[in-house]
Amino acid sequence: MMNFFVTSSLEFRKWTEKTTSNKFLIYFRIAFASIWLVYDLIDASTSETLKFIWFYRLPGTSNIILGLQILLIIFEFALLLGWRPRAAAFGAFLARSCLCHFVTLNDFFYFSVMALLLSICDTSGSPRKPREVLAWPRDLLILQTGWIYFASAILKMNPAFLSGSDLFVRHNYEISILPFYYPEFYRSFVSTLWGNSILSWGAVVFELSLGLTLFCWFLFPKQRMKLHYFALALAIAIHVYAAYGLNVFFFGASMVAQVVLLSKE
Amino acid sequence: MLKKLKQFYNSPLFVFLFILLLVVPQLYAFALQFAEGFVPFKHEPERVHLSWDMFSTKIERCTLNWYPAITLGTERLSSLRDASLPLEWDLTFDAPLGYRYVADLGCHAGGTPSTKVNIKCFLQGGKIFNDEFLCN
Repeated sequence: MMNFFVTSSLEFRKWTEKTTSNKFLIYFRIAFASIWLVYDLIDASTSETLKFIWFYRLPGTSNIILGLQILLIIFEFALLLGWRPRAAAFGAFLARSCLCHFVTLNDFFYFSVMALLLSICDTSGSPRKPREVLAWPRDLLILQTGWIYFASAILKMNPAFLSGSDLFVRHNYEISILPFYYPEFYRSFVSTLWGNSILSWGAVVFELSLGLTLFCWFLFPKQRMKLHYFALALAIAIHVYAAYGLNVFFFGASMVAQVVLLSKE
Repeated sequence: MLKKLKQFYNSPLFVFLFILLLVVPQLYAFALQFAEGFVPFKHEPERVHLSWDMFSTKIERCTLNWYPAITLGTERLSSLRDASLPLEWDLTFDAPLGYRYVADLGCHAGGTPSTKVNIKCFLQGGKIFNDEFLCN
């Protein structure tokens, strides 16, 4: 038992000392900041979150919400330009976490966790002149991504989702608000429970596979190239479908950027 | 001081503490799902912050229309869909009760007693429910 702890702590120490190029971390910082900057600019300029507050009768005044959104936009700009990226990421984490207090969207929780992780990564400099930096923050970003897919897949293993009921509701709701959004064959496919059930099982299998692939990426460094391409294919399949079929664009784009850029060695 | 902070950041202890900070709330949220009744293949999860339950909780959605359109501030709304951007920011609730609540909210804020409300709901099990009533 004692031996196990000694070996584990030595392995852990070795892991914390490993280094990697920060080229793809910089690309991820730029992609993440760009995606969420666009989101927050649209959100603030069209008062979408403020409408949420009014319709859902949530606590929070419009001035506080708008103030937090402006702060987020400033921090995301700084993150995009690479101006004090750690401080900008930490500021974005704080601002979004405060916003989470009023609007409890999973997308906002996701942003907060990622911004916190980015705040410990060394993403300064240009991707054309990458530097060697500690690898553990990048590894944590990958493991966090894997956990999101894994936990999400496990929680989807429930009767309402697997029977196709949930996707039936989502798809048919989309059809009724945007009648020409889906092609005819897809409209008739998702108007059946069995069609939605097939898609639901597919979603669980794909998400679980992606989560496990990312865990394997961490555990088997020699296989990283192969695992990168496999993860890339799964992430694109999941999020292209979610964007088009389920009306979720920004979260998916951010997750794809994360899988594509961070798992590349 | 700065040097000491930098040394701490590079220490395994900092990495360990940071991992704890990241892992504990997420594992707690995940475990809470089981404590609140989630059983794989048997019972649905509930909304628990940080448990990554997107698309996992049981939902029912409705479309909501007012005839004629109601006036909220400077905006005229003939449906809830008109209140927000249709993509990504679409205003939705997870149960018909939420839509019923907004229907009344719209009636009181900008409708008349003769304003007709139509709610069409997509329910679990592939069912569809339609309801029409006056604002009153």
